Amino acid sequence: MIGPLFENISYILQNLPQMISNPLPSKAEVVERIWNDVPKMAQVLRDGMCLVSHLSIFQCGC
Amino acid sequence: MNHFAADVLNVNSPMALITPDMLNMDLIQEARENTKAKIIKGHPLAPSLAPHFRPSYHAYGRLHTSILQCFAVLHNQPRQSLLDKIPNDVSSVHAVHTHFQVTFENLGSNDSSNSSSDTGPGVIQLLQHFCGAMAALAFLSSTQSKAPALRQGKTNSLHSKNRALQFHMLSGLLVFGPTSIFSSHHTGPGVSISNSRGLLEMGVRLLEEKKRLNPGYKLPESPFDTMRLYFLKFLLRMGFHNLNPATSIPMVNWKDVLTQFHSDFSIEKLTRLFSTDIEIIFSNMPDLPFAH
Repeated sequence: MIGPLFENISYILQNLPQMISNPLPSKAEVVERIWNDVPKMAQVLRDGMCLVSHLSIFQCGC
Repeated sequence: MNHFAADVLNVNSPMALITPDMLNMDLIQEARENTKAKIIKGHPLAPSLAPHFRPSYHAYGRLHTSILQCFAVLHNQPRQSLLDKIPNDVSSVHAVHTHFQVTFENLGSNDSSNSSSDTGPGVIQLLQHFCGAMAALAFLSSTQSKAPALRQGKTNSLHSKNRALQFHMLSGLLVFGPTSIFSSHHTGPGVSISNSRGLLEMGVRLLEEKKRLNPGYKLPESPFDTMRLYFLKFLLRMGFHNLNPATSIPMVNWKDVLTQFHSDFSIEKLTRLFSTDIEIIFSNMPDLPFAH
């Protein structure tokens, strides 16, 4: 049971990182605006839950 | 623990700013009963004063949670005495497993439910997820060597209780990344070891297929990629991809894993990573609804 499990974990560790794009840069003016209005930020995230729950292996389709 | 909490919250003492002899305690008691019965009458300040003279079980629950989480966060920096006791051989995994199980348990306490099979609130849940994944890895790695008798009963009991959830956290983090902390079930029939194994298997098959179809394939950007890469690179740096050819167990130094984990996954570092990812999400959103 343990062998195949660790082989899968090892495969993911050796192959997934190079498939993940370098994280996009953030914009200073946006950063200032969002942290000044956390309730609004929470609302935007809630309304756009599809964006937050977007899973890269499966295309979200929204 | 709750007895201790009760003592701490006993504000009915000469040091208190407002003492019972300054108040009409009958009115305060009446306010307590009215609040329970959801009746609005009496002095407007009485409902605010009442809980301070005899805190409800919610107060003890909150304090209890705070104490456990404080203990867990302090544990995040393992004591030197613990590190000194960890042997420099394969049996070290048992001590580290015990440590991750206890920390996971403490992080899981919250004031809505003191059931530790639940997950912690807020930023604590980020740490608990990573800690749970490490506990699963430590358990899997510990199966090939004999555990010392000392404290093993408690470790086994915690492991039995949290095993499915910890496997679920590990597979979710590896396949979906930290998005899974928010999007996955934390309880219920879907949280099972067989599902976690299946998820890992599926993740590998999908990666193989993507590589076969396009060797230079890049996944589209997704939320929490910074934290996702951070965790994967941590596991790589620790050597979880290097398997012993005879046993298929990762060849890692568990003492280093413990020390490095608690440095790299401190609450402060996780908070910074999390806020960076949130800033990236918003920076790449078109038509932000925020005032300039």
